[in-house]
Amino acid sequence: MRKHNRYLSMFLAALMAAGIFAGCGEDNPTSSSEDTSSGNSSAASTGGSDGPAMEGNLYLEGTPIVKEQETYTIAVIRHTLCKADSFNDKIGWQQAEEDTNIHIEWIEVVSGTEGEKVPIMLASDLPDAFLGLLNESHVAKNMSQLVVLNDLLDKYAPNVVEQYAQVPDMDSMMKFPDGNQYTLATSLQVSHDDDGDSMFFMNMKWLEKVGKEVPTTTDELYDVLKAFKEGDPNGNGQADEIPLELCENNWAAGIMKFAGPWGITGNYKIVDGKFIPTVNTQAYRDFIEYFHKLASEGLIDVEGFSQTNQQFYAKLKEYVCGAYGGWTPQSNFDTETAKEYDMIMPLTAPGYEGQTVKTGEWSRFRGNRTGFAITTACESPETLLRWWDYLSSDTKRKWTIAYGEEGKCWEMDESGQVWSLFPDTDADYTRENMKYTEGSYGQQPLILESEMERNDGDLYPDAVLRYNWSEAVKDYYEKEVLPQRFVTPEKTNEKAMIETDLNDYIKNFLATSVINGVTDESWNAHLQQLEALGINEWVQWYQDFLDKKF
Amino acid sequence: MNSTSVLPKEAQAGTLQNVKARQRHQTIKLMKRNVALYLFLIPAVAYIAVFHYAPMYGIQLAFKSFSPAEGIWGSPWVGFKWFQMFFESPRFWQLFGNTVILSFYSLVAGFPIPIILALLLNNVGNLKFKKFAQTITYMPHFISVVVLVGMISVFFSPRSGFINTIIQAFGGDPIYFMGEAKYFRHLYVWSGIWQSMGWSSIIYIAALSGVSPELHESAMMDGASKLKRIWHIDLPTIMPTMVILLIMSCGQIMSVGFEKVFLMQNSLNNTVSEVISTYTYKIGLMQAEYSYSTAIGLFNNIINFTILILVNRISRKLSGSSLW
Amino acid sequence: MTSALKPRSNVKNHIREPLCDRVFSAIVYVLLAFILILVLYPLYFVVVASFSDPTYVNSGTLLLYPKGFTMLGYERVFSDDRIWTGYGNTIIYTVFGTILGLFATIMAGYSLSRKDLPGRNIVMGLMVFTMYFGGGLIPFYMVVKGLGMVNTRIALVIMGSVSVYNIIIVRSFFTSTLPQELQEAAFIDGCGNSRYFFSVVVPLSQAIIAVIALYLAVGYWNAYFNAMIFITDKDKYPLQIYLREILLTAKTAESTPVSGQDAETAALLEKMVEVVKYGVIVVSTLPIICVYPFLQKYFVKGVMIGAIKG
Repeated sequence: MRKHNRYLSMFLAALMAAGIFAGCGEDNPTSSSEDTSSGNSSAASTGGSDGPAMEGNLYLEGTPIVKEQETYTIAVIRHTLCKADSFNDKIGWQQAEEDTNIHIEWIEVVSGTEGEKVPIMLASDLPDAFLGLLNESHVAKNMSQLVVLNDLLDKYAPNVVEQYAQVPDMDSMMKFPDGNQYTLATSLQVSHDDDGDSMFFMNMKWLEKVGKEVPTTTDELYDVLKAFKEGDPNGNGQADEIPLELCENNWAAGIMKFAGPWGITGNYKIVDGKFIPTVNTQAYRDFIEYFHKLASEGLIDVEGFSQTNQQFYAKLKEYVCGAYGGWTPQSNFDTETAKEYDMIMPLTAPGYEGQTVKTGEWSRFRGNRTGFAITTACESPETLLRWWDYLSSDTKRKWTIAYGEEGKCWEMDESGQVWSLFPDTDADYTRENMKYTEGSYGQQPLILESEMERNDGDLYPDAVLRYNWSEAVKDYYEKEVLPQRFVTPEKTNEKAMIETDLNDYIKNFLATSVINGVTDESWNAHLQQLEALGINEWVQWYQDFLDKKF
Repeated sequence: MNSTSVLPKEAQAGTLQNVKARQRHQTIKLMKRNVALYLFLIPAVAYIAVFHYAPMYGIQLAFKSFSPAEGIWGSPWVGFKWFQMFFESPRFWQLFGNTVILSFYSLVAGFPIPIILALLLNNVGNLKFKKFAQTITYMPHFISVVVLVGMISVFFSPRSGFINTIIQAFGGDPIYFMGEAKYFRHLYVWSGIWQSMGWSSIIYIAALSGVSPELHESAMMDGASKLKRIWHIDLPTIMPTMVILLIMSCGQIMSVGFEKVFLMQNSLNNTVSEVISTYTYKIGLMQAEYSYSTAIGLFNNIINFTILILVNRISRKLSGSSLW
Repeated sequence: MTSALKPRSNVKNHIREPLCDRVFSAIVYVLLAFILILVLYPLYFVVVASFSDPTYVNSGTLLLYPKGFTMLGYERVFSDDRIWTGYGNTIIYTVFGTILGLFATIMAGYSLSRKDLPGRNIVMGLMVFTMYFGGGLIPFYMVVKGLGMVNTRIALVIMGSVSVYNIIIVRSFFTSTLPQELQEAAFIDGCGNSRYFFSVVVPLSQAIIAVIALYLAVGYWNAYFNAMIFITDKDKYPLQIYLREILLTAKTAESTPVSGQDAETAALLEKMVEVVKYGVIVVSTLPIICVYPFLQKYFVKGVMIGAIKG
């Protein structure tokens, strides 16, 4: 078969204009096995009595990790903002090579192509390891291609074991239903900036102009929005104000982010371990009816259901939007305008006092649980595991991998606290570029909560604002959330089959009802449609998940 | 095949074996004479053998559960599991309907327009203008779908889009084009036509260049009007091309491109905009379940291929042009 | 030659053009003008948008002239080295791929158009079959890997050179335009298949050759999928890989609920993409658009066939 193919290849090549391509199709795949086989040929044996303990070429403690240099191939995601020629130009990986004597040959997968490339690699071109490329379903479907780490961790990755013990529920988060651990975590354990999710911002200057107080109830919000609509708060003499701007395509500005006053943050909630849908409740209907009232009086932007993100951002910049949901006003406006906007606290709806909730979750685990995985193609998983353990063993090292050289984007004080730095950069090479060019942000071994960086508010107000806001609304977060746990591919398929239909339908019902209103008739039809699309199976699936039945 | 039609009289005269032997003889003679033609075929045939037929064994995955460790041959059989999963989805018929309606609409509206455009261009006397118009209409082909959909959203915005500004200038109310399900298909199909009419007309323009000017001149002598000459000279010339392209388009009825539909989709129009490709993408199985996507692809293409065979047969009877 | 033919007949037309023809001509021009406006405006918009502040572009306030004039988009595009490497690679793949594909397609299409070629329907059927049925990506990858063509330039030149669709078009073109008598006459004169093909068929078929060349060139120019799958060396990437990256990353960044400082990254990406989005289209398509006017002159030469026939 192989020979046959070779023959065809030569034949095809001969069809081409001869000679033109000489030099274009050079053979260059250097297989890692050639490089690594030398050290591992002798079976595990303890090194000489005077030297450190060894297994073949592998030292069991300290650095370097291997005696003779070894090469491993690691497939890694290459971020769009990365301007480095190669991952080996990044200081974090250079230092690692110097210390460990392990050379990494990076297969850089350009962001946006991983969806096609990863399955091919898994099926026919396994690297020694994947970094930042696999997701849960990849792992679940390709367990046989990955090395089971259970028994290796204690011996070869003591630092990792020790660190994971500090993370609540880490074991249940990392193990697959078959009881095996196939992956190691990357990225950050927590990020309080994110915990608050989307925030509700309002223009305080406009509020002053129309003579209103900061709303605390949905009725007051209605009054404020009405005043925005009619009072020409942007002062251009035109009634072009959009009191409340929405954008379903934006992660932060969808209409569901505003359902909190009715005790709703999503299509379900969990109360005392029970999984309860919200989409068939009176509260959901009241929420829709409130927004229908806003829509019919032109107080929300119904184009929000279809517009692109770019249109959304452009409208914000036009200075016509009174209120919206987002990350920080600073990221949506110029510095001066941003000061006019401030977060408003979660509102209450009449009849739902005390039930207000807010999307978000304090101290949510933010690590990428499938960040690093060693494959069966790897000659010596022990070596790579030790390499990862080495990377994990030091806070500075992790940050160097994440951000690049100390003193540029970050620094550590005497107490060991890491501080974010904001070097002067130009528009073509911003701090964000630095993170992905000099560092490999997000691909570093899991940074624990205790190792988290902090921001000096003067230098970087956004992060401090985010932190404070997230904390301010802390009491409104849902008390119970779905745990993060891997499930089998069969179960994932089962859920996907129900959920895709259900979610599509719910979104459509919500959007059309906000525009056209709800009647008893349409509401009953809605309830029936939910049944028909399998809402009961859906609830059952999640209930079983909560009860750890699979 | 062809030799049979040449020899009907002899066939009646001789015995069956005789006829067959003579046919074989004839065929071999033709093959020998046309050795060069077989050589001409080699590059294309080799390409197709290597890049299309050699990987063909992957089709079996539609009936298997692919496991990378065991490879394609070693993966376990699951019969019609994936097909069943697809057919049993509560929205199967809705998806099927949306897909067929969308591509049928595209076909019916999109097929004649490039032909009309080519005929119009062919009747332009001014060569410079003709070239200019040809190049301009061809350019939208190069605009990427992401940008195209972005432009549609801006142009048709109920708030600021210039289309609605025009509607309002004529006293109408602004229309929320992107937000109403009933406009989705029109926007999809007509933006597609906008993008592809020039590109698709190229082949007709080339075919029209084969019309002999003398034919037109002599028709003019007979007093035939331009319209008549188009009908009796130009159209018959491009008819074979038209028929072949029509046959091939009919064989694409189940293939609605994913990207544009996906980008144009929103919660207000998803009852009509959900098609097979977007649905399977969303269900997440495309990435996770390689076998499932193979099965859906196979299902679509069996329908496509069946339609192609039918249309091809009809066309052979009616017009004499066919793919094979 | 043709240009000498055309005006002459036009002059003739003019003298005794009946009223209905003049009305018809008027209709033709009106319709074309209408179509041109429909097509031109969005194209014009793209160009204007490429010089404008993205905020105006997306808010719908941009109509006829650039607003918030900026060259930033172009500066960004041209300052990116990868664009230039990509350009170079794309040109290599396009030129060689088109030449290769042209040979394979025209020769195969011609052979299959010959009614006296035994087995042609079988070959045709087998080819059409592959338009619908294929083994999928993974076996395809394995075959290419088996040929040792992964991560080679030659893979990108060969792949995409033969398309059944093009062969069918060529075949149908030959079937309908090459008169049977011409071939018979040539054969009686002792002309063989190869000589007939190269010295009679090819010169007579410049129109279809031009069309197929255009199809192939545009196909190679816009191709990204094979590069994405088979190429790992950045210096072998064609232009489209970068464009796709630029246009799609922001899209994915925004639709997945962003977390962490990724929100910031996403916002930056968004801005970056918006600035270059339109400029990138102009820069990347201009060269290939310019190819078309050059090919157009070959469309007219097909006229010769009619002349010989008559």
